[in-house]
Amino acid sequence: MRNRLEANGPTSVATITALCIALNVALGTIVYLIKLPVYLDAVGTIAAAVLVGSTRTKGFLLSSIVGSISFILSVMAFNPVLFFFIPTQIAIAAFSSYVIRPLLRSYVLDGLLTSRRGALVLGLGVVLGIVAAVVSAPFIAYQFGGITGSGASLVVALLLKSGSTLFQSSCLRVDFGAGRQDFAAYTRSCSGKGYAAAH
Amino acid sequence: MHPFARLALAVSSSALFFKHDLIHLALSLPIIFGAYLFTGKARLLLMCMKMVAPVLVISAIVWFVVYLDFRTLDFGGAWLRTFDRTSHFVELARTVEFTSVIFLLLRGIPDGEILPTLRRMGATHFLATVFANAEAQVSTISDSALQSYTALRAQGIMSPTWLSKCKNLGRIIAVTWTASLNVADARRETKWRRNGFYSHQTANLERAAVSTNRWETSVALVAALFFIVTNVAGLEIVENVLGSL
Repeated sequence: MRNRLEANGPTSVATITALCIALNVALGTIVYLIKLPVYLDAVGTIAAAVLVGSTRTKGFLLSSIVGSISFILSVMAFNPVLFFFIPTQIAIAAFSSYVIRPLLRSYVLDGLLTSRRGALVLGLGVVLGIVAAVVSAPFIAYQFGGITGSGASLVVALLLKSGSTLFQSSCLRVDFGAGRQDFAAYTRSCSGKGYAAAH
Repeated sequence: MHPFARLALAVSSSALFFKHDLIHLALSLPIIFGAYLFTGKARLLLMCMKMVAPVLVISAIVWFVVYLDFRTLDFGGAWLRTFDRTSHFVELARTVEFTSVIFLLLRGIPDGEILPTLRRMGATHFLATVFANAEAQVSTISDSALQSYTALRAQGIMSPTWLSKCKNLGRIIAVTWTASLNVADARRETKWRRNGFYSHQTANLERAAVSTNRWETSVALVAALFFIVTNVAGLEIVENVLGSL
């Protein structure tokens, strides 16, 4: 996979990067369309961080591009507030490139998901969720007060109404779940015979 | 519209965040409407309003409910707090104003001109290529997502309940993905070793002309100027004029 991507040069990198952006926006659009209180708009960013680029830093740069362009396009497509969550995507890209990539790249490439790997994936997903929450919470809390018109806003409203503080509510909105679900979704898509056969 | 005018409008619209005041927010609104209407993008304005209106309405309702004290049922107080000049809802409205300008600048680019326009706006070739390719795919995906949702509802597979939507999330994703992405093309491009795909785009880029309309460029520059005047440079002037009225 790596050799093939490197050998094809900028064409394949540009194509894969564009596909990862499309993946981000596709899942984001669907979740936004049916107003689910979860986020799946970082799957492409994680995929780019793990798969694209010969080094971690290149992976980080490319996945940051994926995350940033995804959210710029999402602003044009469906959600006008996503522009301010580009730093969250960059944080996810950094975590995925520098922490997840070295731990899981070989696992992802051989396409097998054992119970030990599953536990590692879940653990990393939880940590990724925390990273995403910590980075997005200040933006959500102080820019929008936690309510951005998405399904997750209802959770924040409920928490605010129950007496939680703004920052607590913003942290507790489904960002924890978001990271986990993004990462779990990505890992599911990479595991199994289909992925192994294709690569 | 000349790429420089797009860039100028994008940069100047960030002035919206310089002043946290309801008056300046309200003053920026006619500038945005004017920019849309005078550049002949009325349909784009409608599309933008259809996109942002639900966000604003839902947020207003949710904030109203949050501020409403259910013991006293003080509707007036909740209303005032929701639309207070320092409220979070007003912050959201400012964000929406800013993004509606970005929407005009990016969605207003004519078909097939995204790549050269972005290049002339200063983006690198790689960034412009990725953005243009992704934008083409994303437009297809957005349409496909709506169609998939409608198709699953029409076939009775998915009901309008939230639980049903959750249960059928996988189906919606699968149908959207299958319907929208031409995977075969992407794979062919990926496997096309040392192909002319990238260089072809480079060659075309050098020849590609960006359609620049003088009227649109003038409108964009005037709007950019107004943004700066109302939000940064002439705050006192605006306030004095408003005060004298």
